[in-house]
Amino acid sequence: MRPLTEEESKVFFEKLIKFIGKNVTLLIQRKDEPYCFRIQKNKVYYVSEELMKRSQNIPRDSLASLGTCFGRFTKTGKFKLNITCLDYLAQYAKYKVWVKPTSEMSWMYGNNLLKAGLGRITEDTPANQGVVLFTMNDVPIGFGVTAKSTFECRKLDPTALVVYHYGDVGEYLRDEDTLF
Amino acid sequence: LPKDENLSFQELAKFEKLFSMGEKGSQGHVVAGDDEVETDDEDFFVNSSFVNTNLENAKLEKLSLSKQMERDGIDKNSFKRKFKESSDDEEEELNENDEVFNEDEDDDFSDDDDIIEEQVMNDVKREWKQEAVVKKKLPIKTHDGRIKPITQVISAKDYKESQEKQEKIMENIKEQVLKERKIKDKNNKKKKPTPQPEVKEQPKPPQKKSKEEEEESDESDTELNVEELQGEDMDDYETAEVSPFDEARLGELSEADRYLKEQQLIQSAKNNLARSSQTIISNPEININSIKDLFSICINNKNIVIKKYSILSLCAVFKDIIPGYKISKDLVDELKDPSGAGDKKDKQKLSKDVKKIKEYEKRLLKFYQNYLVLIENSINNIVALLQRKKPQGNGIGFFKINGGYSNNDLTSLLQCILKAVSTLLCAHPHFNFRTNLVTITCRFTVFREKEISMMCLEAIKTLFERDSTGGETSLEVVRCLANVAKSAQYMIDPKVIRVFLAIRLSDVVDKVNPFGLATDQKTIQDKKMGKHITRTEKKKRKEEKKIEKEMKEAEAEYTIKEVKFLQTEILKSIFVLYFRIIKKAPQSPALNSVLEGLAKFSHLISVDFLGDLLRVLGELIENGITSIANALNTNITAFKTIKLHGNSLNVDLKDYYVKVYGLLTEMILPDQQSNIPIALEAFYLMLGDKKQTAVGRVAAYIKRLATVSLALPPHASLAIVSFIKQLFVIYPQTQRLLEMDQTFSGGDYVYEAPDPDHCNPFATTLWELTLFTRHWHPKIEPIVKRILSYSEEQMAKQSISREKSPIELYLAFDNSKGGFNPQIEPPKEHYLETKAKKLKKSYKNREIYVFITPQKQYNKSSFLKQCQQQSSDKSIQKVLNTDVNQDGIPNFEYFTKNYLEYNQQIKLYKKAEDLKNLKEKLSKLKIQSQTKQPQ
Repeated sequence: MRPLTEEESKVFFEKLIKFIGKNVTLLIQRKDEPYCFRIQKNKVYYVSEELMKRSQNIPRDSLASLGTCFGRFTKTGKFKLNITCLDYLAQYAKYKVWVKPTSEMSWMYGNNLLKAGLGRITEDTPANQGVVLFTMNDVPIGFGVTAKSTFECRKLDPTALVVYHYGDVGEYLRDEDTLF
Repeated sequence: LPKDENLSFQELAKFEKLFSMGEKGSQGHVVAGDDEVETDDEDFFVNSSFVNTNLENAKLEKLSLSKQMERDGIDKNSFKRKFKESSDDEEEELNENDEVFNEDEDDDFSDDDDIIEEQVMNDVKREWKQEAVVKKKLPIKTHDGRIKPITQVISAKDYKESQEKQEKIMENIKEQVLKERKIKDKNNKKKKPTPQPEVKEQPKPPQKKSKEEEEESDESDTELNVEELQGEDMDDYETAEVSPFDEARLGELSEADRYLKEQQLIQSAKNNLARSSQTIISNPEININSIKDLFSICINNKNIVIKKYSILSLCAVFKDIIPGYKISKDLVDELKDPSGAGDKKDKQKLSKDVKKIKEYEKRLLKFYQNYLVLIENSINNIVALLQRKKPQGNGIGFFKINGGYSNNDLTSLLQCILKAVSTLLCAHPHFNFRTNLVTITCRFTVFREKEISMMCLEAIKTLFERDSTGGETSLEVVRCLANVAKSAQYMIDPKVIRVFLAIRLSDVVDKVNPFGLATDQKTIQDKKMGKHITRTEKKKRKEEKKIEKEMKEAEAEYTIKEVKFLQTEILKSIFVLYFRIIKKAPQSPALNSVLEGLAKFSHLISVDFLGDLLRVLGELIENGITSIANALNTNITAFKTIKLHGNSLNVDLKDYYVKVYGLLTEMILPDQQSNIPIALEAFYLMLGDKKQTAVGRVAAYIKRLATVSLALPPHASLAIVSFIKQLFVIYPQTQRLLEMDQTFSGGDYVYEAPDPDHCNPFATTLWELTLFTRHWHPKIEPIVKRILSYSEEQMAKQSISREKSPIELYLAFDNSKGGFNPQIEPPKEHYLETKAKKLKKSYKNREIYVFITPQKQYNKSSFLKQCQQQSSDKSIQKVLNTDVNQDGIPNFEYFTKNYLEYNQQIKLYKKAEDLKNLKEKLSKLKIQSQTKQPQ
C-alpha cells in the first residue's frame, strides 16, 4: 500500500473529474474525517486516514482490500473505474441520467442505454461526458459516457444510443470473482 | 362715445383713461408717461394704407396675395424699411424705434373705421401710449354699442404678427417672381375656411396661411420654395411672437405691481380660454374656428402659466371633439394637395350634409395637425434648451426660443405638453397622427425627470390595458419602446420594461418564436398561388382586394384573425426586446423586469425556440444573476417552458436548483422579503411535481427553507412551513428529516454547501419546526404540530387541496403593512379571575349577616320622608315629631301601646271567628241529621 505517484494521480483524477468535476476536492477535503487515496496491487482505494494508519501494520502481500475500491490501473497505465465507487460518484455526480424502469435491467446486463430508456437527463449535458445513471427512484445503477448532448437528445429517435456503458451494478454478480 | 371725428387725440386719451379704470385687464401694458412717439408721416401713411387694403380684403373674406403685392408694390421703400426694422426687433426687443413702429401699426389696425386713421394723419406728434389706446379704444369703437372682450386685443396683436409675416411672404415672392407659386397661394386661400364675419376673425387668415405652408413643407418636401419660405417665415414668426410691450415696461414696475398684473393677465386669459372652449364644445361643427383663439392665446402670451393653461385646454377640447373614427385617407390627401382635391371635390356630387361634415373634418384635422406640429417643435426646442444647446431652427413652438425662460419653466411646460400628448393618446388611439403621439410618449419614458417619465409610462399602461384599436396602437408603442431601449443601449429603468406586463393578451395568441419566419411563409404561399393566375384575373383580384380593404375600414371592427395577428406581433416584438437585453446587456438594470416579463409570458413561447431560450437562461444562471429575485424569475421561466413543451424529454435543470439554493439565504434581507410570493411559485414549479426531483435535493431544500423561515416575518414563514408540509406529502421519503434516529447518514450535514446534492440533509433534523411550536402567531402552531405528529395514513387522508395553499396563507396573514394579522385576541382570563367569578356565583346563595351599629344621631332618610308623606296617619308623624326625648331618641311607647291593643283585638276577633265556625258546623250537622232521618 502506497500513495499514488504523480503520474498515477494525474491519470486517476482525470478520469474521476470526467464524472464528478470539481467535486473531487470534496472527496479529499472532508469535514468529518480526512480521507485519502491509496494504491495497493494496482487497485486504488479510498480510505479514511485512521483506517489507513491501522492497515499499515499488515504486510502488503497479505492485505487483500481496504476502504472503498475506486478502480484499477491496467498494464498499459490507464485507469479503469470500478463499480464499487458508485456511491461516491453518485453523490457528487455533475451530470446525471435517470433510467426508465423498463430499461433498468437491460442496463444492468451491461448494455448501452437507448433513447427509449432515457427517463430524465441533466440540462446542458455535453456529449462524451461521464454521467451517473439512476433509476427513477434515485437509486444509482451505474455510470457511463453520453453519446449525445441533452440538446441533441430532444430530437433523437427512440432506438438511438444515448449513454455508452461503462459500469453497472450488475457487475457485482457477473464479476463477483474478480471484483475484489 | 368718441365717435366724433373732431375729437383731438389728447381728448381721446382722456376718455380712454376713464375707460381703462373699469377694465383692469388692459393695465398690463399701460405705463403712464411713456415715451414720446415721433412718426414719419409718409411711413405712417404707407402703413395704414397697407392695413386698409388688408381690411378690405378681409371684408371680402378672401385674401389674395397677389393683390396685396400689387398694392404694396407701389411703395417698395417702406416695405424694405419695415423688414429691416422687424429684423432689428428680433435682435433687440427693446429697440425704441421698433416699438414705435409696432405701436403705430397696432393703433391703425385696431381702428377699423377710418376716423382714427384720419386723425392719425392729422396729428404729427402723439403723446400717448399706443398700446394703451389699442386696448382702451376697443370698447369705444364698436358701432353697434357692444363692448368687445379683451380677446380682441390679443387678436390685434395677432394681426400685427400676421401682417409682418405677410410682408415677408410677399417679399419672398417678389424676389422669386414665380407665377406658379402665386397660383398655388391662391388655391390655398380658396381652400381655406371662410373666417367668421366678426372683426375679431379678420386678422387670422394670413397667419393661418403661413402655418399651412409650413405644414405643407413639413409633409411634402417636394418644393424647395416652400421650404425657403418656411425658414424665413419662422424667423419672422419668432420676432412677431415677442410682445414688444412686455419686456420693455415690466422692468420699470415694482415687483408687486408686476405680480398683480401677471395675475390679472392670467385670470383674463383663463376666462378667454374657458369661453372659447365652451363655444367650441357646445357646437363643434360650427364653432370649430374658435380653436384659433386658443392657439393665439397660447402663442401670443409670454406668460408661461397662460401657455400651459392654453395647451391643456386645447388638449381637452380636442379630446372632446375628436370623433370616434379615423378621418379617411382621402381627406388627408386633400390636405396635402389642396389644388387637386378642390377640383375633385367639385366633381363629386355630394349631399349637403356630407359636404358639411367633410368640411368640418378637414378643418378639425388641420387644427389637430397644427397642434401636433407645435407640440413637436416646442418639445424639440425645450429639450435642446435644457441641454444648453441652440435649438436647430426647424420649427416654431409654443414659445419663443430666446424668451428667457428658466429651466424650471421649461420643464414644467414640457410636463404640461406631455400631459396633453399622453391624454390624447390614451383617449383617441384610433385617430390620425397617432404615430407622432406614440413616438413622443415613448421617447419620454426614459426622460431623466422622474415625474415626466412616470406620467408617460402611466399613459402607456392605461393604453395597454384598454386599447380600443385591438392592439394596433399597442404594437406601435411596443416597437417604439424597443427602439427607445435600443438607442439607450438597454440601460433603462426597469419600470419601462415592466409596462409590458400590463398588456392584455387574449387566448387566441399563437405560440411565438421571436426569430422565426411565421409571417414570411404566408407571402411565399401567395407567390406560389400567383403563378397560375392570368393578368385579367390578377386585376380582378386586385380590385376585389381593394374593395375588401375599404369594407374592412368601414367596418372599423377587428376580426379575430386581425387581433390574433396583432397580438402575436406584439408578443414577438416584446420577446425580441427581452432577448436583446439578455444577450447584449445582461448588466442592464432592466434585466430584472425582463425576467419578470419572461416569467409571465413564458407559456407563449413556441417549442422551436425552447432550446435557444434555455441556453440563454443557462448562461444567465451561470454568470449573470446575482440576486434572488432574478434567479427565481429565471427559474419560473425555465420550468414553465419546460413543463409546457419539454414533455418529449425530461430534463433535470440542475444548475437552476443550485443557483436558487445558493441564493436562498438572501431572502432574509429585508429588501428581498417581498419576493416570497415569487419564491413560492418558483419552488412549486421546481419541487412541486411528483418525483421529478431527487429526494436528497428536496430534503436539502426543505432544510434550508426551514432555516430561512426562522428569520422571516410570520406570514412568510407560515407560507413556507405549509409548503414544507406539502413537500412531505409529495415526497414521503423526506419525512426522514423528522425522525430523531439517524440510521444512515454517511457523514455530517454540510450547511454551507453550495450544491443541494452535496449537503447530506438526512444527517440532520428539522429542529426549526420545534421552535415554531412556540411561535406567537396563532396559525403557525397548529400546522407545525400537524407536521410533527405525522403518521403516513393521516397525511394521506388530508388532501392538500382542502387546505389553504402556501400563497393563500401568505396573502391571508399578510401583515407587511403593519399591525397584526390576525388581530390580537384579548388575553385569556387569569385563572384567579375565573375562580373569583365562580366564588361570586356561590355567594349569591349564602346567608349574609349584616351587623348594624346604631348611630346616635340620625336624620330622616329620603325613604322615610316619602313614607311620611304618603301615610294618611298623621298621628304617627305627630308622634315622631313631638315625642322626642331630650336625647333625640323618639319615644316608642305610643306604638307599643297600640300594638298591645291591636293584639288583644285580634285575639278577640279570632275567638269570635272560631265561635262562628262552630256555629256553622253545628247547623250543618243538624241539617244532615234532619235529611238522614226521613230516609
